[in-house]
Amino acid sequence: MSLWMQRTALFLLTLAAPHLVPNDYWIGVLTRICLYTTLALGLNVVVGFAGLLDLGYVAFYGIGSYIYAFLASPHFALHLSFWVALPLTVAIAAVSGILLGAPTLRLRGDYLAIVTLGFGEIVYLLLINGDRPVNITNGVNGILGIDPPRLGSLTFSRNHEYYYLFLAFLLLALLISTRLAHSRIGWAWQAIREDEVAARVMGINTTKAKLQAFAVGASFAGIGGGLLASWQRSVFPDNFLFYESINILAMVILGGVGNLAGVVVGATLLVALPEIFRGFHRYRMLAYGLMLIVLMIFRPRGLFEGNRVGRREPETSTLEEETLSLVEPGPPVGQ
Amino acid sequence: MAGTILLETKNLSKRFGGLKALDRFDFLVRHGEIVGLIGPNGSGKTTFFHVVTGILKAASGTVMFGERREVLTALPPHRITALGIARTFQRQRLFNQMTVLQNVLVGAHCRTCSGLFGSILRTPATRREQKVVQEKATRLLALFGERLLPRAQDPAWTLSYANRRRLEIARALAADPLLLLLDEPAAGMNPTETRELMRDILSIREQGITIVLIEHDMTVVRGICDQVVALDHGIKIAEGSFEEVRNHPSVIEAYLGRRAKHA
Repeated sequence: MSLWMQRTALFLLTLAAPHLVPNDYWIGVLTRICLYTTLALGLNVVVGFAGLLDLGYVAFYGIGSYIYAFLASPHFALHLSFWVALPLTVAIAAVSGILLGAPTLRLRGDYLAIVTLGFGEIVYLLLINGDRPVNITNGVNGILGIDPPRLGSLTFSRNHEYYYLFLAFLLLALLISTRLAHSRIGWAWQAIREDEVAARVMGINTTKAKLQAFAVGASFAGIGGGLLASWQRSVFPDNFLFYESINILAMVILGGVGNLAGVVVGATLLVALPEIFRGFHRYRMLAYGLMLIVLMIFRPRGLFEGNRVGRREPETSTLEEETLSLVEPGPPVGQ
Repeated sequence: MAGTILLETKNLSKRFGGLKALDRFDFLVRHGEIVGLIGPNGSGKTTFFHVVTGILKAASGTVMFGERREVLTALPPHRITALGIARTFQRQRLFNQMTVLQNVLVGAHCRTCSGLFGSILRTPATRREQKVVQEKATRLLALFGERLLPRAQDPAWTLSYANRRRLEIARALAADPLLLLLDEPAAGMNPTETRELMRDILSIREQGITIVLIEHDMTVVRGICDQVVALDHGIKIAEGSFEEVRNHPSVIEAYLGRRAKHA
């Protein structure tokens, strides 16, 4: 039962964490760790499980944030409760995942990355320019005065209150990820990641499975977006720059693609380290970059030996190669 | 059931640019048969498997399958698998980073139905199905004695070459096929392993599964095939029993070449 004890200890530690850090600023950092871990777990479904390199993940985060802002702010004079607005946000984010995923289904690898990167930029530009001709997104000024969550008589306002809220959603995301990883759907995703042709022949409807991966990934981003909006009490297009996609992807890769514990550690390190290095002022990003490079050299598959990065299996040929090999005259085969 | 037609193709053609990989190929398998498909490299055997399983689209012709003679030519691969055709690959296509057991579990995908929400909520139905399918996968691994079962939790890439071939067969069987297509199952196996494989294939047939196999190893073809079809340049050049096909002039010519005319 040592695993069970470890987990309990870890859980108690996360519960006590806000009381162990020196000040409120660090409680904010812990809250961000929870937020980014949730986001990274969502991207991990797409990149880690299904092997679809998505460079525009921030689009779903942005869509989630803005949908939540629309539903719970003076902007459209809608003031839905957090507990109604968030599920709606997640549902809409999931649909957006399917809509943005559908055009990319036939693409693989680098081409998929380029197109998803484009989607990230399109959503950002829509948010910035969405104030004309009809004001929907309020452009660069963002949306202000977003309602905080309420639970019974408690209105969330302080960082440690948000920390526990975010932690609860992080644990939910972790539970869903774990269950999916060991399910028929999760196995199908991994099969697609390993060999798409074989997956199709094994009876997997790859179109459906990929769209499900996009939908689950986007719904985690929807959770993250809704949480961000309710915590920050405002959203701006600049919260959703390309840089964020890369940052979240780095969290997934750092720990080891497809490895859930790795994703949690990766996100924790990548949120915490820049804060730790903050004392070094200008050199902070330099140290951060250096650390990433060192890691890529010595642990190319991530801290936790993930599943996928840097791997090229010599024996899995593409179908094109296989059919092309038909054209070349083979060696004579005797009886 | 025995004796009725299971798979039939008519006029099946497939081109790659100027190359005719399959040229008006008529093919027929009856329930319970083991049919061997032979021919020199590049004669269109694997292309035939690709077309039947829906990975490649035929240029013309039809593929009909099952008692209801369903036309497969326009179906996507996963629908064809669901109808009852499973296959292995000439170059192995295992899910390398997944465990041996998980590979077989993926094979059962089309015979299970747990959805996204069932998996997230871990409903009783999902848990029941998982239990059933795990037992089935374990049973399939046990078909190969102690070869695969002790390795069930190891990643597939750690298996030996012969064991990977066995795992491909176990994975294909997990889809409960009526028809099993084996693409060079004995390639790279030593004589002992090959003999074992022949026994395994015969015992798969005992379960009522019809088999078409592509094979270069003629001891396998002679040993287990009821019918043999020879292909060359996408054209069927001979069919019949192993002895008939082996002595057919076109087959000898395809393998050994024609005597030069003005020597």
